[in-house]
Amino acid sequence: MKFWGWLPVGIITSVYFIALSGLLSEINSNELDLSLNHHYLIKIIKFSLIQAVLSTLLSVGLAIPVARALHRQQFTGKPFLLMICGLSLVLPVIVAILGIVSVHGNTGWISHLLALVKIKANYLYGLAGILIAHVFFNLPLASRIFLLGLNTIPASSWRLAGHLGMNSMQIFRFLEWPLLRTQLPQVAGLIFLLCFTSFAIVLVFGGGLKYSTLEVAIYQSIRFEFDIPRAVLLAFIQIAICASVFIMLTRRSSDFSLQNLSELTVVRIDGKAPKSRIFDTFILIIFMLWIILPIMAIAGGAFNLPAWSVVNSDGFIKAIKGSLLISLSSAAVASLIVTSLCYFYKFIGQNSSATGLLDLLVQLILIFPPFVLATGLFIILKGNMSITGPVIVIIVNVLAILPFMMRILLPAVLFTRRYDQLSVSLGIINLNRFSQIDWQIIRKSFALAVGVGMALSIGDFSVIALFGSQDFQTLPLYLYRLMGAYRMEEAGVIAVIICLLSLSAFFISQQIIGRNSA
Amino acid sequence: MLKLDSVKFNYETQDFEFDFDLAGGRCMAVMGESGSGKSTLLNLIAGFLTPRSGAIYYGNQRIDQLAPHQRPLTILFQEHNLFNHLNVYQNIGLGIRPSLKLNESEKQSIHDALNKVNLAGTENRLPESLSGGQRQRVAIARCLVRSRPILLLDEPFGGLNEELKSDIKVLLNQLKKELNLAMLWVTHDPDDVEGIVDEAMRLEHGKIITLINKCVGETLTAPATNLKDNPRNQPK
Repeated sequence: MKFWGWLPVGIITSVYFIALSGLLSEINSNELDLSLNHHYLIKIIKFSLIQAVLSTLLSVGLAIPVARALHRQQFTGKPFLLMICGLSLVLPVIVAILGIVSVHGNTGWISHLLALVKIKANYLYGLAGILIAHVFFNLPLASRIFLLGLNTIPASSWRLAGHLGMNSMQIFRFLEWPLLRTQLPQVAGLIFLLCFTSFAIVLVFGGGLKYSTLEVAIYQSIRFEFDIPRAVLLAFIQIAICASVFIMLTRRSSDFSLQNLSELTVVRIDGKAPKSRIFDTFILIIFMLWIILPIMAIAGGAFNLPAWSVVNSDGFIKAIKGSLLISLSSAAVASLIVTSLCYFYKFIGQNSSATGLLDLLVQLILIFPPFVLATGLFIILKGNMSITGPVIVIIVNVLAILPFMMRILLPAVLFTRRYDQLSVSLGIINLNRFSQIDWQIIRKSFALAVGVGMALSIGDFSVIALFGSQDFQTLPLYLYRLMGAYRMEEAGVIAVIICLLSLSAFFISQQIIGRNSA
Repeated sequence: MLKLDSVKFNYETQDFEFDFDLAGGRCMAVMGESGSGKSTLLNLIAGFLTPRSGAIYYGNQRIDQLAPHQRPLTILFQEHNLFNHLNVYQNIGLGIRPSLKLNESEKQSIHDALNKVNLAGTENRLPESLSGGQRQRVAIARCLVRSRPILLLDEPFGGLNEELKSDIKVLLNQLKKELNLAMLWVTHDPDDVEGIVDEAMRLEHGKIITLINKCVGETLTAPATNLKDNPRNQPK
């Protein structure tokens, strides 16, 4: 047990260690250019911070009225709206970008609409585009978390509020705000981190010196200038900022999960006032359009029949092969690692500082720029690019999906604790224990974890941007290239294929692994 | 006969010491405040804890170095006696063979055991579809098929009402006599063991402070009165 637990810990640690030693060797041989333009550096840090802060403020600020409206209004389309909300959370970033371009772009739906009244709309690129995309992803996320929080207010409080005749403002002040305030630091911190390290969105809508974040600058210094010292310097700045936000967050930990969305059992009286009704309806319509239009645009891509000819192209064949290779191998490797990690976690469960370190190791990838990690690995591994490239993409992918898979699998593994004494007393040990007891208990969560891991890998667009070539590419990279070439109809078809592939990976894994044996 | 020979153990600052024996066909009640060492005693005998010194015997065989499942005993826990994802038949079968590969006579013994606890026909049901009392009876059926000479009970009546308690007690009493079981029964409520108990001990700070040992054949009718002289022993 101990050995099997230490093995994945050793593997993960050595990946980081190898990457770091690779980076340091480059820095030693290549005098760090301290004359590195200060203006450049400060500009990038400033823009990274500004866009992240603005995205966070907008997402969180808008999520409060949206969550309130969702909580106090009952309407027929509500389950559908919540479902769409959940859909936007799992949409691959590059796919969502395509949807947003179709709606907000220079030739998008909104500019067509505005053209009718002779207004020329050209707002998507630069800071505005980045904010639109970040809010597209994070407004539903924040709304869902807040809604879950509001659902925990007990029915007795609502009865009391009605009894005392509190108005909407007073209810917000005395019931809702005290609860939302406890969630606020976590939610804001999470969204800040996601936006601060955001890559694809900034790459597409920003770019150039003016609208570049640290993550994109790291990518550009490696890809176009192969300036490793600069990339490392930028990476350390990013890690330092993320780590400090991360530490602030863990200090004020109040755990929330995105599951168990329960229905409100009491109807809130304040939702019935005409003023609230009008306000909530307005908010919810805007919110729904905000999310549903890009999703409709993506789905609409499927109906562009001539564009389906793209599936015959050489590029598509290579891309789908690459995507399958990356996602299947990443999910396979990650599921082995995550299972042994979870059992190791259960094994050392009594020691909270050890489990804390394990958490940190698994979550490190969330603040560690993947490009820097990949580059460090590349410096050491070198070799034939056609082999090294995919290997590094798989390694980074495995690390990237581990925290998500672990979150799903760990509770199930820890649940098996309750049978420890009984199993030992009956002599159900080793393989019998795993096949008769544990596997039966964890298989559903395991299947879900594998499905999520595969779906995430299929939609991933990060280090592949660095290692992709004519011969080695994945569907998201292919989509990005088609968009860059303004072949939007074909890009639309690829987006639909990515979504279908993610969905089927998700369902097939549940069918094969997770189905009930009984 | 189960025999604990100056079994010593320590946990943090608390020292534990147990020295007693228990014959087959006899039931010993173990009482005491929480933290007095009741669970520690069971865990030492069951093999979940290892004594610092001393020895545990069953007859002439020393058992304290055996793995928990190799010891001549079976345990009825307060809860989580059954695996929720396995049906009644499988739950009992695991007590015979952890691989669940059973021969015909072993399969028959499962049905016999279920008959004995009045749960014939429930083979394919999952524990969640049974009542709390039925679940405990399934666990007792598993104790039956294991046919080990020592039965350890750890507050087996947690969450059961009076009527169910007496049903199960009748069953246990019957088994005690038929199988000549040595039963060690941890409980905080003397009423739980009334009518079945032959001997009783009271623990305080890890030591046996009272040991009531009636002659064989003479059943201890009211351990409650015998143990209640200590005011702290009142059921909570």
